Amino acid sequence: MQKGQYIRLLVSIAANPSTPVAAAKQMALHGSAQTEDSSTKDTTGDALEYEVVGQSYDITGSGLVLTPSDTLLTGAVGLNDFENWIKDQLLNWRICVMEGEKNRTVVEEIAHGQGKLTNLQIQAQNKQNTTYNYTINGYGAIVPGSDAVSGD
Amino acid sequence: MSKIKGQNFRLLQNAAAIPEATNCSITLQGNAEDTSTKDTEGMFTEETITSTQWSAQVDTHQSDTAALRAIISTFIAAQAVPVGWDQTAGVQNRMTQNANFKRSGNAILNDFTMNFNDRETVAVSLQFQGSGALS
Repeated sequence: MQKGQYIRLLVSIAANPSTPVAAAKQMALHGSAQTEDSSTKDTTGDALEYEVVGQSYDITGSGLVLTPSDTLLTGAVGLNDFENWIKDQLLNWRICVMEGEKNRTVVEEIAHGQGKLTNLQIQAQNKQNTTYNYTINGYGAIVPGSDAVSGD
Repeated sequence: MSKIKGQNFRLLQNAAAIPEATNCSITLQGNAEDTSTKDTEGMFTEETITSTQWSAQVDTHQSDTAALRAIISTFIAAQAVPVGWDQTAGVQNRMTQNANFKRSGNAILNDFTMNFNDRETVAVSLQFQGSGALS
């Protein structure tokens, strides 16, 4: 079974992002379809029939807050980037299988798309690592990836 | 007593067991309407099932990238796909047994979550909204 640390979110303002979230802990892709009862008097029987009338998705995740000079932030994104993006900034994202040193070499893309950062929470508790949680709401469609990876 | 263990009761998509599942739940619902009237004696309601619906949910450890992409593609397509359930046995508990409680129908993948957490196996949850009757 694939482990979560090998599947990472890469995000940036630029197209085809190559910068993963540094020191990431969690990440999830969640899709939801809004369905509508489309059964009518012409529908035989009592069972309801549904059709999809809308779709949305979001990406949530968390990571450790690093000092700006931390080398893990080289070629990656951190809290400062997310803070700069909490406005009407269209972001490009990719979810990729990654390997190699620090799990930063893209092997395969699972999906990509665009989104906007809608929520950023920083948690700083006494005697614990400071963390942040983010939510990116999808903008437009999710595009399934392909085996061929370009731009890495 | 001949009990069926959870691993031998599986959700099927396109007539095949959904792989690497850890849990599934199925809900059949009759939507009831209180049809009691002033003619009804006493305080109790009298329910009439005016419509039925069903849904199914499955948790899996699917992590093959092709499978993950297929889930996304199914979601994007927004079309009902064959979904059902049956007792299973045999290799990987995947052989359907055509049990008398086997049911199948069409359903829309209306919700999915893929969890990619550090130092945990990939976990995927799928939720299907039945569309039309079960057979």
